[in-house]
This record gives sequence, C-alpha cells and structure tokens, in this order.
Amino acid sequence: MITEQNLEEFKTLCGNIFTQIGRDMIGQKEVVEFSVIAMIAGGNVLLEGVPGVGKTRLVRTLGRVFSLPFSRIQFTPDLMPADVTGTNIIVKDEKGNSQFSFQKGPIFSNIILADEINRATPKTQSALLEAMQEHKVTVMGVSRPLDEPFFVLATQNPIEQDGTYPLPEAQMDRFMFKLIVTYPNMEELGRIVGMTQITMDEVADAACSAEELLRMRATAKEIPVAADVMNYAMRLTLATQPGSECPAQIAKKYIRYGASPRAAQALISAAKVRALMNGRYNVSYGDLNALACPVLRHRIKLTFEAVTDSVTADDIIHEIIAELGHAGDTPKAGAEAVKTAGKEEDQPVKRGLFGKKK
Amino acid sequence: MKEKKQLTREEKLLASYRAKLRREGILKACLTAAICGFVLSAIVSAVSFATAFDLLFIALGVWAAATAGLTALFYRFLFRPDLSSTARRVDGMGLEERVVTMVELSGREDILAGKQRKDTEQALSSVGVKQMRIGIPKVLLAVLLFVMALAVFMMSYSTVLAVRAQETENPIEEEHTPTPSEQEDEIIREMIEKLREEIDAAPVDGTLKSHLHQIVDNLEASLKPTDSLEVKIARVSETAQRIHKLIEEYLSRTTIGQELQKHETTKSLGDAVVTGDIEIVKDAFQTMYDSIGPHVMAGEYDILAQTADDIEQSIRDATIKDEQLAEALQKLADALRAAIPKQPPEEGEEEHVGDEVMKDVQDAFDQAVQDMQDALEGEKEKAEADKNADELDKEMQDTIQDALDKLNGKEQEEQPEEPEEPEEPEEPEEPGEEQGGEQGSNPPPVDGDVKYDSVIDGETSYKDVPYEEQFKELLESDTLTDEQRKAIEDYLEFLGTEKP
Repeated sequence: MITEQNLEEFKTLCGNIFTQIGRDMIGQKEVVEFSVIAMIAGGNVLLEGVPGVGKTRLVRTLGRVFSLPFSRIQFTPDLMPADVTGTNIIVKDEKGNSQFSFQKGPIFSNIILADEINRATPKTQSALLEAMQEHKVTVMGVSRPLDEPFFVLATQNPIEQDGTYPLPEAQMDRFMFKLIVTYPNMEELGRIVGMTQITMDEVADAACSAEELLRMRATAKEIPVAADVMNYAMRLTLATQPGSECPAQIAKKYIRYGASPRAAQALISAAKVRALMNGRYNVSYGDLNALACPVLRHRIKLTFEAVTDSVTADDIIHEIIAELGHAGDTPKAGAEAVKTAGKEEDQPVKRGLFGKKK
Repeated sequence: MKEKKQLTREEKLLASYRAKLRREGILKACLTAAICGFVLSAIVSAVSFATAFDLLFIALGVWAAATAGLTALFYRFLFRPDLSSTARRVDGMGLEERVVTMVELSGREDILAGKQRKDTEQALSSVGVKQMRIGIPKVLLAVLLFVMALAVFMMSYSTVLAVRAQETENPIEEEHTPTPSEQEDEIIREMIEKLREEIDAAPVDGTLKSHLHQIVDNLEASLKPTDSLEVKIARVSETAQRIHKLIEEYLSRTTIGQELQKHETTKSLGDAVVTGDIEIVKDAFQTMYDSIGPHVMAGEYDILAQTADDIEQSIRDATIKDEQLAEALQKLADALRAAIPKQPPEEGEEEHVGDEVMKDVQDAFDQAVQDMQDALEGEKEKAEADKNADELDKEMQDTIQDALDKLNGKEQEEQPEEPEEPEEPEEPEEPGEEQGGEQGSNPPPVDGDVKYDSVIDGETSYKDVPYEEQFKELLESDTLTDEQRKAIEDYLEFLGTEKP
C-alpha cells in the first residue's frame, strides 16, 4: 500500500538522481529522462547513436547513480553466449572429484551495458532474451535468477553496418525504449569539452539504492490511469498494426508489422513513472504521446514503400498521434515533429538510377 | 453512502462547468433537431411539389414539431453532459486528464487518491469556467445552413407551384379593392353626377341646360389625375356655384310682358303680352284705351306720358328682349308721346282736343297691335322651331349612339381577349389604360343630356381618340343626315378639332 512517505521519497530520489546524472551528463536531457524512467519502470533501453556521443558514459553514470553492480559486455562477432551468461566448467573439489560448477557470466549483475550489441552474432544476442524478459538465465537446464533490479542498457551504432547483425524482432521487442542519442549542440559541446579537461572519470555519486529503486517502481505502479487514457494507449498501439481493428491510415501504407502488446505495457508503465516524476498523480495523454516514439519506434517494421519514401518510424508515430486526435497533448518537440511529418509528401520524390520513381 | 457523498463532492466541484456544458448541449440539440426538422419539411415540400397541394403550413408545422420534439430527444440521449464528459471537457483546458482520473477515483480514500484529488482541485482553481468556451462544430452550422436554405427554397417553390395549380383549376375572381385614387375619382364623379342631376332638374330651357352640361364637360376634361382631392373638390364646387348662378339668373330674368305687368298703366297690356295671344292683346289695348280716355278728355295728358314712360321702362328692365316686340312697344311709346298736345287746350276746346288725342292714341294702339302681332307670331314660330330642334338633337344623339355602339361591338369582336386585360392585377399602376378601355365602350359626350358615366379617367381627354376618329369616320360616310352631320361638326368645333 502506497504511503505519503513513498510519494515523498519518489520525489526526493528523482530530484537526486537527475542532479547526480547532471554532474556527468551534459545535454541529452530527454535521453537521460527516458533512461531513468525505464530504470524505474524496470525496462531495458537500447541506445542508438554515433560513436562518441556519450552512450557508454550515460550507462556508467546510471550505474553509479543507482549504486548498482555494473557489468559491461563489449559485443563482438566472436562473442559467444556463454561469454554473456556464464557456463559450467569442470572443477575438482577438495576430494579431487571433478564436477560442473557454474561460472557466472557478466550478465549476473544489476546493470548490464551491452555495448555495440549489434556486432554480436544472433546466437549471442539471443543469450540476452531470457535475461531481459524473465530476469533469469538458464544454462544446461538450470535456471538461475538474476538480481533485481536488472537492466540491460544496450548501445548500437547506426552507421558502419558492415559486419553487424541487426537485432531480431524478438530482441528489439524486449527493449522498453529505443533512444536516439544525438550530437550535442555547441553550448553542450563546449561544456562537455570543458568538463572532460578536468577529468574523464564519472563523478556522480550514488543517489538511489536498489531497494529504493524497487520502492520507486512499486510506487509508480500505483499511479492511476483513467479509462480514457488506458484506452488511448491501446488505440495507439493497435493503430500501428495494419491488420488490427483500428489501424491508422498511415500504418496501412507504411507499416508491415506493428507494435506488440509489450509496447502497450511499456507505454503504461513508463507513463506512470513519467507522470509521478512530473508531480502528477495520474497519467495523461501527454505522457503517452511523449513516450510513444521511444516505445514504438523499434517495434514497428516498415514497408519497402516507407523506406523508399524516406518515412521514418517517428514520422509514422507522430502521424498516428495526430490521427487519434490528441496531438494537442503532445510535448512541443513531438508536435513540431508531427508538422514536419505532415510535409513529407511535399518533398521531391526520390528517383532511382534511371530516373524512375522508386 | 460514503461513495455517494464523494460523488456529490466531485459533482459540486464540476457543477459550474457542467451547467455551461448543459447550455452547449441544448444548443447542439436545437441545431441538430432543426436540421432534422428542415429535412422533414423539405420532404413534405417535395410531396407538395409532387402532388401540387399547398402543404406550406404542414411543412412549417412539421419543422416546428420535429425541432421541438427532437431537441428534447437529442439532448436527453446525445448531448446531455454527464460527469465523465464534463471531466473530459475540463481536462481539455490543459489539466492533463486530472479531472477524468479524479472522477474515476471517486470513492477511493487512499492516500494516492487523496493526493490526486487535491492536485486536481489545485489545477481546477487555476482554470475558470469562463475559459471553457461553448463549442459548436462548424460542420453542424454548415449543414444547418445548407439544409435550411434547401428547405426554404423547396417550401417556397412548391407553394408557388401549388397555388398556381389551384388558380388554374379554380380561378378566383379577385375582389377589387379600390385604390385611394379610385376612391377620390368616385367622390368627384358623384359630385359631378349630382351637378348634372341638378342641371337636368332645373326649370330652364334646353339651350341653357346644354350650355350648363358643356360647362360640366369642360370641368371634367380639365380635372387632372395629378390634382389633389381638395383641388378637384374646389374646382367642382366653383363650377357648381357658377352653374347655380346661371340658373338663378335665368330664373330671375323677365320678359317685356312681365315688366309691363309691373306698371299700373301697362298691367293689362303686360298680362296680354305674356299670354302671347294677339286677340288678348287687342282686348288689353281696348282696356287701356278705356282707362286713358277719361283722363285725356279731362285734359290730363300726363297719363299718356306716364304710359309711354312705363312702356320704355319695361323695355329697358326686361332681361329677355324680343327685339320686334320691343320695337313695336317703343313705337307705341313714341306715338303716345306724340299724341300729347304741345300746348294746353284753351277753354272750351278740351273736348275737341281730347277727341283728337284719343284718335291718335287709337291709331297708335292699332299700329302697335299690328306691329306686335308680327312680333308675337315670329316668337311663336321660333318656339316651335326650338322645340323641333331639340327633338332633332335627341334623334341625332340616338343615331350617333347606335353608330358608336356598332363600332365598339366590331372592335370587341376583332379583339376578344381585351376584356381579360383589366382583370390582370400585375399592372395596377396604369389605371388610365384600363379606364380608357371602359371609356371606349361608353357613349360619346355629344350633348349635355347624355349620361357621362366614365368621364374621369385621369388620362384620356375628349380631344383624344377614339371619339374624334370615330366622328371623323362618320362625317366622311354617307350615313348621316344633314342635321346629324351639323351636330357632329358642332361637337368637333366644341372640342377644337379640325373638321375632316
């Protein structure tokens, strides 16, 4: 049962978390905010960005701020599943008998940094599936639970696709958010450079323990969601599915596969955290609209027509929000994105090698 | 019980917003019902159009009934705001679904619900009822305008068609409501008719009556439609006074005989002259001779001078003078004066002088009888001639009337559709043409005794066609007698028209 103290604690801890993260992270406020939301809501995050924009630093900072054990796994093509999950090795006991002993892999930690996750083979990537969804690892028929809280913060590079293995849909669906880490602006860049001239190390202090994080998660889960808002989350999810009962018009054209039920779950869970973080005790349409892109963008599979028309997943999501009639509740950045998405059709049509319309 | 109490609290919190939404709901229900009403009335109009029945009032009644009934239904089942819809509208003012959540959490008393309610109340306090605008969808208004225009057009169009169809089947004679101008004309017409009746009833001879009727004709011709009623009445009254004066003058005029009656010496002569009988005149002279004789024989010759003076005075005073009679009487007066001796008779000669004087008097009387006999016979012949002329005039008028009726009958046969024209109500501003048509069918104003029943038309003068042309045609034909021809020529001369 939620108490006044829980609410106060949530508020205080949130303030502290963002304060401490701000000591190491400059800019990327949205990425930081959504990352924290995901951690409180218990979701995994896929960070996508070019090298050097602070993805790894963000994950490391989060590990420090939440005062949780942190493991970093650098995904490479030759990385094997056992390198992630751990494996049974033959060891001799005191009597000299050989027996299997499970050697825990780096996944047995609270925060996992899966760096450049798309560079590992699908087989290795699949090693994370069970851990990400069920928070346990099964090796040779023995399931071992992971410590709570457990997060996977993966990064991937959108460029240099040679020698990479795109994440399978099942893997993607297990990430609550896919966050795009963009380049810092001039002011942020100046501050980053200035800060790193002093030290490259993270200086953030722990602001939240594992227990406190779990209590925050429990508190956030209690936030009420009005039936209308819940219904909107469902419609938002179903609108991405061309074959659903209420698909969006743009989804019929540009989406091959829509978001799964995990998307709706993620939307509501994250929206509750966001509402409470903003001092509200109810979820609003604005929360859902703000979270729609990070929740849905990696869960929808675009058609070839969308690719040829240079329509991105974010464009489609903004269009769906506008179609559902709650674009006015979208945060400013989102609203601007909707406007630009609406002008996509006015842009010149891209043509192929022989001038034919693609 | 607790839950009800909380619900009441939330309802109370949103009461003002809900009241505003109720007004909006009623308005929307009204507009939607009006749309349905207009559609139904358009359907009724379509039925009216198809069946050619005038269903305008039914269409209006259907519209009113449908609008009233459907307003209540629409409000009850579609537009009446409940607590949830009110909460949604209030949230639309930027409250981020706080109110909706609060309404859904009604009944919960846990800390989170309390916090949420408190947060919502704080947010509500920053948003006033005035910020919530009554929103009527533009589409609804556009549809209403379109349907209303369509229904009004169909109602009016079908009604016009139905009325025309009914008029075609059952033509209704329109009751002619006289215009103010026509009422004025009627008043003036009555005054003139009365004046003519007075002229006809006046104890004057036909010549004067004709003259008086001509005066009335001139009056009618001179009255203009642009004149005001007061001006017309003033002119008619002026003419009436003039006619009365002429009649009075006529009635007050006297003949020489009547004037002779006024004097003692000539009374018996006057009585005789008035009768016009020469034998009685002879007797009157004999009477005068007998009455004068003793005076003359007594040497009182003044009686002769007195008689001569009285005769001359009577000739002068008479307003109706028969020149021949006046001349005869003047000669008588002169002879009587000549008979008076220039010198008084000496004594003893009175009888001899008296006899001579009386002889002269006798001669004068004889001569006077002879002169007056011619005058009285000429007068008698003139009276008979006048009487014959009146009869001829009347006969001539009848002939002209018959000819005109004949001509008008031919015109009507040639133009059978013309009688329908006055029934057309579309051109009431041209009364002159209508009355001109009536005038064409009336007898021409040939004589004062003719009945003028359509003289004031405000437009057509007697000088105008068709009378002139018809008279000219008559004159050029060989059907008229000389007297009729002369009468028509006199009439044209009266009109100031050149003879053909």
